[in-house]
Amino acid sequence: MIESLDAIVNTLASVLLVVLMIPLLLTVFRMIVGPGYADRFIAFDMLSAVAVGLAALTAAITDRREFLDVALAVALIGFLATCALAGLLEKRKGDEE
Amino acid sequence: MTALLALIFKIVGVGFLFVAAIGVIRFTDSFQRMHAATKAGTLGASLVILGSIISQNTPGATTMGLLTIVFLLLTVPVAGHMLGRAAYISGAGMAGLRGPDELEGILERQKASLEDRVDGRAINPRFSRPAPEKYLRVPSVEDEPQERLRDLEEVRLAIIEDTVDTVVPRALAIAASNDAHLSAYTLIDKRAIEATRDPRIARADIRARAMRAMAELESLKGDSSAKIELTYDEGDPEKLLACRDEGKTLLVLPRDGWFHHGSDHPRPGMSWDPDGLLRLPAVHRGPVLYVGGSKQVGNLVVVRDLGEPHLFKALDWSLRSSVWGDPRIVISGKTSRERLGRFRLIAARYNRPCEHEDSALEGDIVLPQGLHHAQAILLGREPRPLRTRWYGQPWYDRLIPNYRGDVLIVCA
Repeated sequence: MIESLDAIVNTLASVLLVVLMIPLLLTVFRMIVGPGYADRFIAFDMLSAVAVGLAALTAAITDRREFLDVALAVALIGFLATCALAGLLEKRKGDEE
Repeated sequence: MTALLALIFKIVGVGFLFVAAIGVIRFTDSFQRMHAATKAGTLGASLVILGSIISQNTPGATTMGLLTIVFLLLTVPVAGHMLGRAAYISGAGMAGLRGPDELEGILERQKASLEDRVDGRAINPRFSRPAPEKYLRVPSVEDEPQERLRDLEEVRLAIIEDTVDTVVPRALAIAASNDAHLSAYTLIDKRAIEATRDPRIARADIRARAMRAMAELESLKGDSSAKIELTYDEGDPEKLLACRDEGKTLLVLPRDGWFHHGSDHPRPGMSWDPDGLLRLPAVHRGPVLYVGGSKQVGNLVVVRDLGEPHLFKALDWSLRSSVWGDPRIVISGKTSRERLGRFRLIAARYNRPCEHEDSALEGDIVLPQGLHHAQAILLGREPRPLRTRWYGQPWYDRLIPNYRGDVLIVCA
């Protein structure tokens, strides 16, 4: 009984992994479409959040805690990249001459 | 059991990520999209991690997972704030904004968004659908109410030391010509006392100054038959002067000074120069007159037109209450023909000549050279930034250098 419940829960977690592809695709759509740079950077921020979720789900499914390290690393990279992109957006003056 | 709990956490987390992605897709502008991405996105990712550590149930995984959640909670708000600030400064579109732009004049903002500046082309119109009609904040002439502000019935004047002799005669004259009730407010800003090094000494000093100002009022009133109702209070002037009766009450203020009556007892290392005077039009919803007090100014009233829909009412009110005698009126700004027509109509109602000086007023820059002898300026909103002094320059000098006349501010 317990084993079968575990199996079902595990399968459902895999289903969630597939379900998470939809937000991923929606965010990628926003990233491609834009329309502005700001929207693309925000889509990137969102993308890193989805990636953290994916890594955490993978950790649960495969039962390997290394994927949680991956989640932390992705969150870290996402934060640094967002900061850098925000700096770019703020400083970039464009062609104003 | 724990497996089920873990699953619930994961499902809820994925749900939040889903909602966040839908928000990123469907919201109108970058700022709203960011609001979806940062809040719901963080919560979703954190819940999925929580579910994952519950299902693993090992010390290593728990440490790592909790560490990641804490890291997310710490960094995402920072990143979101930076990104929002950068998006505002870079001029990203704000099609979904409903109220006024509160940051205007506080942060420097580019006129066009980055992609327009870099590519010099319009955004791909296929994907940038316009905001729904109800979210647009651009006021149009048609849907604006036609009614006027109410007739002037009460003149409130602020009694502040050193400015009594300029404010009182004007207030008396306006009240007399409108047959209005006159009430003088002698207020003391409590925060000004509390911000000082020694509140006891400061309080005594400020009270003494206020008394002197009131004595001056008595002497200026002289034997004139005008009855002045005197109010004395200590507290927050912004609360004490709050009022919203749409033109029934005129607040007469000096251009400088505050309800600390010029006292100066700052804490060490802290210079204290209150900006409350410019915040009063926002709490006194109606006309606020800043008296310049100079007699040698022309017979000209400048209406600075930044497209405010209530500016017609304001002009109508100021002419009806004859705040300035019989002035010539100049509308300054990028006024459309339609708006100009309405201004002319109002001026004609009171037999006043009305001209238009086309000038590309961008925010709160100086008015054009030809208008520097103005007797008064009519503004539809407070000048931004809301600082009585900005880099050493008093706020009225930002409108016209060495300006001597009045400023009438009527907020919507």
